Amino acid sequence: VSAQGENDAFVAELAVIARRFLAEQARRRAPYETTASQACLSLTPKAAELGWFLLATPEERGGLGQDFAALGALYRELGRALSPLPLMTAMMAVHALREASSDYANAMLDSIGAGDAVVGAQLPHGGAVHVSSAPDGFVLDGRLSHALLPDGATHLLLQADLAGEPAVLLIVLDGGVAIKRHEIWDRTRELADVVFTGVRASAEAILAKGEQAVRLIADRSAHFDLALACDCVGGAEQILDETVEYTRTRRQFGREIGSFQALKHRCADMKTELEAAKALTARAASAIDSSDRAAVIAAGAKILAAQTYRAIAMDAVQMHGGIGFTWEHDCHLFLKRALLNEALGGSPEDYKDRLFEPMRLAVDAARA
Amino acid sequence: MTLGGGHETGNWMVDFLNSYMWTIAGGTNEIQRTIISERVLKMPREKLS
Repeated sequence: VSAQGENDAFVAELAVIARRFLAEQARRRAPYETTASQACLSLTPKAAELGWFLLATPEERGGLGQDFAALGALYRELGRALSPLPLMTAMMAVHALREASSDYANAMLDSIGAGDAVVGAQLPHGGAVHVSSAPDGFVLDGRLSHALLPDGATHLLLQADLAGEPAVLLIVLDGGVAIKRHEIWDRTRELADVVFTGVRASAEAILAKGEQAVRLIADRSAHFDLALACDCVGGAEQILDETVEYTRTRRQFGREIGSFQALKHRCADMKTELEAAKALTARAASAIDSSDRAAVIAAGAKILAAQTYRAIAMDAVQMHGGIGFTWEHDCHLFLKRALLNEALGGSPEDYKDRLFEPMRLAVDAARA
Repeated sequence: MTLGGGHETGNWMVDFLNSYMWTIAGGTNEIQRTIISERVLKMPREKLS
């Protein structure tokens, strides 16, 4: 068996284990009965035992050395389960930590891997922070808008301006920052504004600056887009499955409603759109570690997958009839996650605005 | 460059007009949807009346 074949088998097995684990250990309603972070208190240690937080850490630093294929499989299963587990923010931190070799970076990789550190992260384009030098380290000033920040997060990943140059930081959250939490309809994720006013940070919290930071920020943005695209694909697959199953069992006028052409064609359209989103997401996942167009393809996958998930989740409510509109039925849980996924990082229109310039430059370069 | 399984001529006006034909030929879009729903999604067949 080739190395690639072995790796594909590992990823396939990981997905099977994750699906079974999440079905047994996590209840969809848990974040709605308490909070997302409360629901993670029992989930995170078990996920850490399965090695999920070590997946992207290099083998020589105690991790499993996996590329995006493994993470993508997990993001998809977490999306399918509507899981509140903040894996994406932790993995974005790991990707930045891999490039730093300080004792702090090693300790953080261990701590994240063990499920001890809970990491929040700035959204791409989510606010601006300045770093300035101080006698015994650095001082942060500025504001993050709608950061992904689990209640009880111990660390925060952000980018900041350091004397005119970009920098990537992973700081300890120890009370020096002002946090204003947002109440949001999708309870599976937690968002907050974070205000820094003369907040001290150690020098080792700066993981990268200059050119390296520019590359890390672009990589993180692509990782974020692709993680959300995978989440959307998983959620859309699940709610479509459940909707089709409902039409096979629900009877009206003496037959299953799934035999009516109006509903069959609607489901066929959903399936067709889902397959297109899956294909683009798979293409983006295979490009992320190799292509210089990775960021553009990942953004495209995010747009398509999020719009598809939202459309399928909305259709699912309709196809369930009256029961689909109730609190007791799970349709709205999918719709809420779909709507938040579509909004995170910017609306599809924001994304298209940002994509235009690099695409125009690529076309110009091809012509020249 | 032509796309679409070699059915395109490269003349976009001709291809545009032909695109309507491809919603019918080889099984209409509606028949394709029925096939997806029954064969892929395993939804029940329509009751014969």
